[in-house]
Amino acid sequence: MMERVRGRFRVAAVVAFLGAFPTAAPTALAEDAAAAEDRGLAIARDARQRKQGFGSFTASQTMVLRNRQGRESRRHLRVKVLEAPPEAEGAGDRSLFVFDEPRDVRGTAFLVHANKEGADDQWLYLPALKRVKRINSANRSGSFMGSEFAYEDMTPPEVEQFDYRYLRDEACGELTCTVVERTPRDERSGYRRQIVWQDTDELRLWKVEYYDRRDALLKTLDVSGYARYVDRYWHAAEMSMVNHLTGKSTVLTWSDYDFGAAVTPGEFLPTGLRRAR
Amino acid sequence: MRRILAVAVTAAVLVAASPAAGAAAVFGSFRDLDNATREHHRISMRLGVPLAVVVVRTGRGPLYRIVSTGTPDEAAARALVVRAREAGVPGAWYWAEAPVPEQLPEERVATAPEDPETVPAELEAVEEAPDMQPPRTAPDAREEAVAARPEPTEPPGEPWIAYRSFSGDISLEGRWYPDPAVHPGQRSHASGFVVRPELYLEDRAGRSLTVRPFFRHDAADPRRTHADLHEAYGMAVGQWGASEWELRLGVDRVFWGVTESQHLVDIINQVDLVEHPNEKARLGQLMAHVTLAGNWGAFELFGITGHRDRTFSGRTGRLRLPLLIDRGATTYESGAEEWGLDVAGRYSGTIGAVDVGISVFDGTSREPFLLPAVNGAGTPVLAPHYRRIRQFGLDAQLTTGSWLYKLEAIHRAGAWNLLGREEDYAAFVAGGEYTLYGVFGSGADLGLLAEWNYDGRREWATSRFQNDLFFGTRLALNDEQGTEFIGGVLSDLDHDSHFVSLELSRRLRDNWSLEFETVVLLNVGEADLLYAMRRDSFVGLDLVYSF
Repeated sequence: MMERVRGRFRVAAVVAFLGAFPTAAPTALAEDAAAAEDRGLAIARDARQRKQGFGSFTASQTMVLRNRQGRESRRHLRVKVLEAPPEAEGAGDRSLFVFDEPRDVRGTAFLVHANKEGADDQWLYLPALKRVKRINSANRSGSFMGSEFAYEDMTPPEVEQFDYRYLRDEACGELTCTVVERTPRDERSGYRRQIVWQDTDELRLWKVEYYDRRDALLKTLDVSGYARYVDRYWHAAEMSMVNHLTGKSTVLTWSDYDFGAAVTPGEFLPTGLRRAR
Repeated sequence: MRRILAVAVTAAVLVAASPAAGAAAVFGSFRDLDNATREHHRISMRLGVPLAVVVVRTGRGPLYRIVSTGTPDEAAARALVVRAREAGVPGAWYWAEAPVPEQLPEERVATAPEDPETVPAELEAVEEAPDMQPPRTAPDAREEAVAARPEPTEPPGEPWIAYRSFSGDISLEGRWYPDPAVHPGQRSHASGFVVRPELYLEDRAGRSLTVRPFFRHDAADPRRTHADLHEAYGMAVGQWGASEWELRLGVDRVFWGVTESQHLVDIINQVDLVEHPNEKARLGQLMAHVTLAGNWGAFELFGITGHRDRTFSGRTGRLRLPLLIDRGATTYESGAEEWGLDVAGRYSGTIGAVDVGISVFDGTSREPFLLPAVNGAGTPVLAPHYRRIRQFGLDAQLTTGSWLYKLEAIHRAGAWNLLGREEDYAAFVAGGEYTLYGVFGSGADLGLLAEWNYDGRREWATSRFQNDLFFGTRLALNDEQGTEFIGGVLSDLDHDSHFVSLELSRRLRDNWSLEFETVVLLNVGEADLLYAMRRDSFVGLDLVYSF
């Protein structure tokens, strides 16, 4: 799997190199680079815009963690997301995760206030002590519940958190995908860059390749089972993350989507975390 | 197959919709019609605009959605969405292809749209109700109709409970004290089990009841065998302007603070000292607790009564003083004894990278002063005496980069010092925590902690944290088993004694986990408050089943 992906990348890089170099003058190259960045940003903005306006949604997540030996363990959690009001400057969406499984962490809750620039604000609720703890968001690259998803993979990314570069359009299954490279602006991110495949029809995310700080392919995310909710929001049913370095994988299954769910802003405050269920 | 049609079940509330698409604002979606009806009424009153409930058929059954009816175009609908959010309906969103509520019953013909591409994927055909009535658009008529609607009756077999959960854990615990006992009668082990179930019930209006009893059986010390009601409270939540109020009535536990070596400002609940000498386990406390919270922070008010006696080891138990504590001889400064009223308040808020809590407590202290006494059998004992105190507390944490900087400070008036004299004092814990992420080339996180504990009374302090330095480490492997190691040394700078604590926890398989712990007391001299417990270092192993 890893070899195949890498091999294809090498070919693509060679083609791009041959295509650009012999004909383009340096200024043209710079203009092309600027145009690619502009186009990448436009795609990100467009994709973001298509996801906006949902107000709130709730869903359930089941994670199946599989190690190299094939041993599986399960996580179950519920997610609530409150969209940032349109007039909010700098503030992003608020996400709340409540754990049901494994049972020993049942009732533990995790609150994220995303910020468009700079680190997110994060709180953890520990039910044994009934303690709400502000935690460091520098652990963006840390594993989420021992899975192959990092904390930074778990919340919807804000447009401003990356720099973009449009790479190409290519066929992906029956669809055409636009391929964009995005570079995290936050130096605490565990990634040097990500390559993102989104279809040109609806800008649904189909695949992401994550490159670590040494620019080696670390993980691949494959997304499937898209359905459209409340006539406009496309959401996936399954996200499969494979870690190429460790051979471990995590399959994240979404269910019980409820867009426009009845949530209150108070649930997304540190005090509301104490009653998260 | 992808067709849409809305059904009118109740004339004014649930309106008919044609397959034609239009702009609307949506204020909420419900699986339950009663909830939708109630919310419809509430939101309609709040916004003062006509609303309707439309039903959409999804793969998982009908969904009742509260929509605007007076929004002819996108701009109007979007404006209403913004207004609704400002008015405290955060879930509002713009629905571009909403089914348009019909104006005349004759036009309510159930037809599928011509072009299936334009139809929301989620929506499927539903049957048209035969007794559909024309929806009314005048707000007055609508309110009237809503008001006239009979209260929803409970469907048979469906109780008032909208959500319930039963969870908890059972653990088998063993503790061994390798050193010979200091006091006569003391055993060298403390083995037993702990049961901690939790029942949670929530009704359709979001009110809830939580019951969480606690029971420990200890084979060595009957005093350590104890039951407690950790939680038994009812809770209601509501909106108040842009803020939210929360009311809790009953027995609950409340935690304040940020530091790790000691929970200094945390005062609402009594320490359950027989549980662990680290003074972190707490007993349930009867109280009324109101919270008002918003983006500005939270203000909390507590009315507390039913003072709890601190728990102490019995004759056969370790970690005790030479004389036994006779809880039957407890006295209070307050004339109302344990039924005096304690009041407390706290403001907490987040200002960028800083989280701050400012608290005040006025009432009977949780910390007993131990008075020499003689019990009925003529044996010398210690009798707990609780003073009335006033305590101001501050807890703050600065979260920046990989560092957490922490501070807890109190000022307490009315308490007795070690000499039994009243002495107002200040105490604090200050320190920091630095975390290294992804150490050893793995996904493990390593935290390094240092905290300084200080009590202005120094040698006359009743707390053993009078001038102590704490160094700790926390290693989380972030593996599937959630393996975690926590270790720390609390060194007394005045007495050169050390309180060493190591904890290791790991999930074995699904519901089972294992916790290993050791507490080592080193170089505890005569002047130290822990002198009577100098040979009570222990090793503990817990096997926990969670459900």
